[in-house]
Amino acid sequence: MTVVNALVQGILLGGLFALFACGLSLMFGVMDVINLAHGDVAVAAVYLAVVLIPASHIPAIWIFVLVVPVFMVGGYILQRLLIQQSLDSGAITTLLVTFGLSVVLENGLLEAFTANSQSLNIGSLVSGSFQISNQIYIPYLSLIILGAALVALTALEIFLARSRTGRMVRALADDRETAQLMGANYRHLFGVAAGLAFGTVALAGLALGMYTSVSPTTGPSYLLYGFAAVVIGGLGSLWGTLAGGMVLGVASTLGALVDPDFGSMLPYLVFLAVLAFRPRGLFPKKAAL
Amino acid sequence: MSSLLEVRDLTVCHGQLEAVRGVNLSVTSGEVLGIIGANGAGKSTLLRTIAGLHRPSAGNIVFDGVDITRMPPDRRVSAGIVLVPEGRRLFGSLNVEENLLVGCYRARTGPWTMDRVFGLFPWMVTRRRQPASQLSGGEQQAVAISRALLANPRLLMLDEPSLGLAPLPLQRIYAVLPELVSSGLGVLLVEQDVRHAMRVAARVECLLEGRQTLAGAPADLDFQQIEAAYFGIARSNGS
Repeated sequence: MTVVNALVQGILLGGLFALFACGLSLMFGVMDVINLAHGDVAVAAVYLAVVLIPASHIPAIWIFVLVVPVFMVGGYILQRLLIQQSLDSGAITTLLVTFGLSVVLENGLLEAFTANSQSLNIGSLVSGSFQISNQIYIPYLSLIILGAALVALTALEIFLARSRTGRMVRALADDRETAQLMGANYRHLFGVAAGLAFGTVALAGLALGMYTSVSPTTGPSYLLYGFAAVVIGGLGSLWGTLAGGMVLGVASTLGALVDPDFGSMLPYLVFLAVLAFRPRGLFPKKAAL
Repeated sequence: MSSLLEVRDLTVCHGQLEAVRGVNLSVTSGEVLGIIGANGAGKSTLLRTIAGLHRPSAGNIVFDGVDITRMPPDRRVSAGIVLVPEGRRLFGSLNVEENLLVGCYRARTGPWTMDRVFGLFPWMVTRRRQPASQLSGGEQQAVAISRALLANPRLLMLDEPSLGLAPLPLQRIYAVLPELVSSGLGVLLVEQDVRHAMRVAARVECLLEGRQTLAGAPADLDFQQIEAAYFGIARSNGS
């Protein structure tokens, strides 16, 4: 029974990992940018919420209504002003620039908010749960986070599959030059993709801030989880990323059954195994032309 | 008739190499201008520069009386210049219909609609959901040309449409050209295969190492002239 419980909790946790990782997958899939500041962006979203919640009198659980749009616009602007410049001067430069951005964000947050950890206070919701059998309790918050992750991933998938802009973003990911020949302004569309990536990671950050506490320096450790989820799922596939997140979640709860420390190690062993035996991930994207 | 596209003294460099050297040409509406030349003569570079993918180091490109030399490629599509790139370059993870819809992204108003394309190539209707990567070469070329037509261009540039195609699909592709031209479209056709270009073009220009070596109507040019201009035989004999 404890194993079933661990599976259920792992799947619930997987939603958070997937939400965190989908922006990473999107930016890499569309413009080959590995955003090393991804984790710090999530942490920054928590700190923005910490500032905004008392000022706006919005209940903490609804604060994403304000924070996510700010990060979407911020992502677009950052892409146009900074990341695009580094893309133009070569792939390695984007690594250096986003690493720099990560350092700046971490130290900026340390300077402004000290090293104390912060969490978002959502009142009784944090401990509320319902029981589905003797030993299996489902926390409301985990269910809400999984629901938010599913809604965000589905919305992203529909946007990419059905909308004019989304179709053009996919065309750009396939072949940037030809997309330009068909009228794509790639700088603008890369900005749109970055805006979506920053929006989803801000949402993931808020979920993280409600689930546990974060400090200015915790970003990079979540970045690692994000990478693992993307690679396990298969690059460039959103549903693969969801599956990757769930695999990570289940691995960490199952591992924790054996030993709490093993719970943080097993996901990386799975990651290593996938890299060794299925280097293209569990659900690789179909090969391009 | 005033010309649709006017290229003046165009020079394009790839690093140290001058790929196109001082080329002048013009295309009017309803005309096919063929550009022939061997591999590496600068034909593709010329088309890609007109489409906006390369910056010329000297010279001007004037489209419909407006200097577009510095205009970004996506704005040239809205202005009415569309290039069907060499090797067709369909979006492999998109299906046939989505590839066509990409052509509609910055389409001008004009005669070309999805229905008209489906009328031209009826097989696309039943195979619209098929990934573009599963099509044969000829089918891919048909989709690539349709995708370009859906943008309702005023100048259509075709880069080596015959490359890698079997004779029959190739005939089908070339059979479409007269209809396009009669609707007032200007066509700039690059071909390595001289016979195709000579058959459909009103005038041909020959490029050799980036320079124009010959120009004229196909009827006025004889085989020896073309051979000399194409391979530069006359020059190497003279030196």
